[in-house]
Amino acid sequence: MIKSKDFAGGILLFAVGTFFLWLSLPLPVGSLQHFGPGMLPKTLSTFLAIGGAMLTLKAAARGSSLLEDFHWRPTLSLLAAFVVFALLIRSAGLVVAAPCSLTLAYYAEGGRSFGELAAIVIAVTAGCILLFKTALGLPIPLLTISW
Amino acid sequence: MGFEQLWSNLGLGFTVVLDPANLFYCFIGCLIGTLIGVLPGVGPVSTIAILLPLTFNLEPTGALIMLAGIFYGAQYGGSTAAILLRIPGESTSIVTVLDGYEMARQGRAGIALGIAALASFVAGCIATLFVAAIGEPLSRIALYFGPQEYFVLMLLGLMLASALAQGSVFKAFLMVVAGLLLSTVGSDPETGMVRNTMGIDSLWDGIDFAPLAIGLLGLPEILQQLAAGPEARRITSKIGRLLPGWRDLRMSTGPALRGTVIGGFLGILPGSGPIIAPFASYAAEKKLAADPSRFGRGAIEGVAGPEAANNAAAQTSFIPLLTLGIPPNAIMALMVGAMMIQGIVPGPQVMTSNPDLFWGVIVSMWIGNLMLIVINLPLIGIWVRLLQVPQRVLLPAIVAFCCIGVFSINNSAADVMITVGFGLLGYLLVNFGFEPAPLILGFVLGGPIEEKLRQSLILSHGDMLTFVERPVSGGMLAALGAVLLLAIMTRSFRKARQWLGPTGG
Repeated sequence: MIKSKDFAGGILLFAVGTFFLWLSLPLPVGSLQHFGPGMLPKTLSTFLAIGGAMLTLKAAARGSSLLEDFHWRPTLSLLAAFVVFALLIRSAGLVVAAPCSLTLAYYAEGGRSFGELAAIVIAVTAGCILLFKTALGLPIPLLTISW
Repeated sequence: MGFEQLWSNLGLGFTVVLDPANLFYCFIGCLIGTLIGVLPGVGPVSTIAILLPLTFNLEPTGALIMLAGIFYGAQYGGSTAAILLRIPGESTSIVTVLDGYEMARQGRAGIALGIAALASFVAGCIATLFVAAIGEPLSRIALYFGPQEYFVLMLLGLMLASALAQGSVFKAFLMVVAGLLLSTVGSDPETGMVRNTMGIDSLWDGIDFAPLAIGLLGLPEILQQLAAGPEARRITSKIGRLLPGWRDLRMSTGPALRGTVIGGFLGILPGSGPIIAPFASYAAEKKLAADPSRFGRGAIEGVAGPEAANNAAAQTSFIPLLTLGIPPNAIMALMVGAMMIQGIVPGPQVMTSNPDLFWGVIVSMWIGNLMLIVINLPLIGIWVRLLQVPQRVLLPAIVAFCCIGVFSINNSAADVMITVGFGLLGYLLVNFGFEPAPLILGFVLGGPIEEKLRQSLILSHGDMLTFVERPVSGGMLAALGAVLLLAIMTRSFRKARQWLGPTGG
């Protein structure tokens, strides 16, 4: 039961709904004629929380299809590739951020060959510089650290 | 509106599209759209989301033309993967798998690919004319709509989108609510009071569209590819001749034309019109065929009809967007996002305020289809080779591309982090059996819905009955009731799909 899709999904939506309801508590609701800033956020988050609760209760009573296996290791390493990029792009620049991110993503995908990784890093980094810097002319920092 | 007007408008569109820069954007769009779309499991929605940042620095017309090109390219890439690998890029090409892959096994892969492109082109030509003809009158009517009508119309669109969604209707509805809720983050449009930003300064003007779209639509697909693990991909046969012979052409003409009509009609409907279209066409052809048992064993009609329906639906789904400013599905929601980033508020006024954009986009649909045939088809060898590149090489490249793309929009590292947050949320949602697409639709329509609702209630002094009393909006509310009926009807569609699609997935 607890491992069913709707049970878990309902809890997620209930959590998001109540969280947003709590966030929007200080916002004034106003009247029907003149909506305050809080009117829609409060209404919608209440809907979401109630809907999520209904989903969970229904799944608890009648069951729903079971969750598929989570693939935490590759998922988290891939998300880490994004985080690393976000952390490094300003402080170190694209030339550092892209290779680090590529390396993480490559190992997340189960790649093991260092030569292949090196080829990907060089090709993709160069390609991105050509595309985003040269062709599109975007102000992306290339290298911001100096030794 | 007379025919001369239609031709002069189309003429304006041609001058816009034949501008070398726009032609180039259209070409690039088709090319990279195919490039990403051909990757198994990556459908048009995530392809567009991933490539969105590339277009932000172009001028608006060029950006939309390129996005439309990406869309067609991605769709064609999906068919290629379906025919050659039996892996549908997304749900619209599930049907193509049935007979397309069989044709490939019989050594007629090239013919299947060729007829898919040709049928799409024929459908594209007809649908483009249809969009051009119906676009202007519709947007004229829309100019008379008050805020009440707009509010009800958008509500109708959202309801239809959840009623026609693929999975559970209730779950799709909750996704719409979540999307609307997310759209309220940021400063209140009237008082300027900051709402629900959790103290994050960059959320003051709302959640940015690109991180949300890439996080919710792009990342879950990449992650699912990861979860699927490395798989052995083998192209079953040689491609062979691309151009179909006279006999094939004759057999495909009827199905392609019928598919165009079916798809063109279903495409206008909000929700999953384009998704249902190929199924409807396949079912119709099977019914009409003299020998239905040929279907599933490499019948060329089973490729021509659905592919035409698919493409016609893709085209006509632009109608609600271009005339009313209301996106009927997630792909059009991405287009809205792109337009807003360019500073264009979608709606009936676009046709008068930016005629070059309006007609340029319409004509670019036709040019895009032509490019698929003239440029993409001969490149089939490259796409096939791309299909054989291992995932562990492609995915890191896509990841790096997404990172730089998101960062480049505002030069903001925070946007990349927000993308990660939505990526995680999207991954969870998909795993829990939710579809992120209705959420995107709700998010895009959230701002306008709130605005029109407020305006309506100010006009009516807080009287909710205003939506029922005005004839047009009242009529549309009645249609909203009919949606419930439609929701029941889609159940039979779904059954048909289960019966049709044992190969899906």
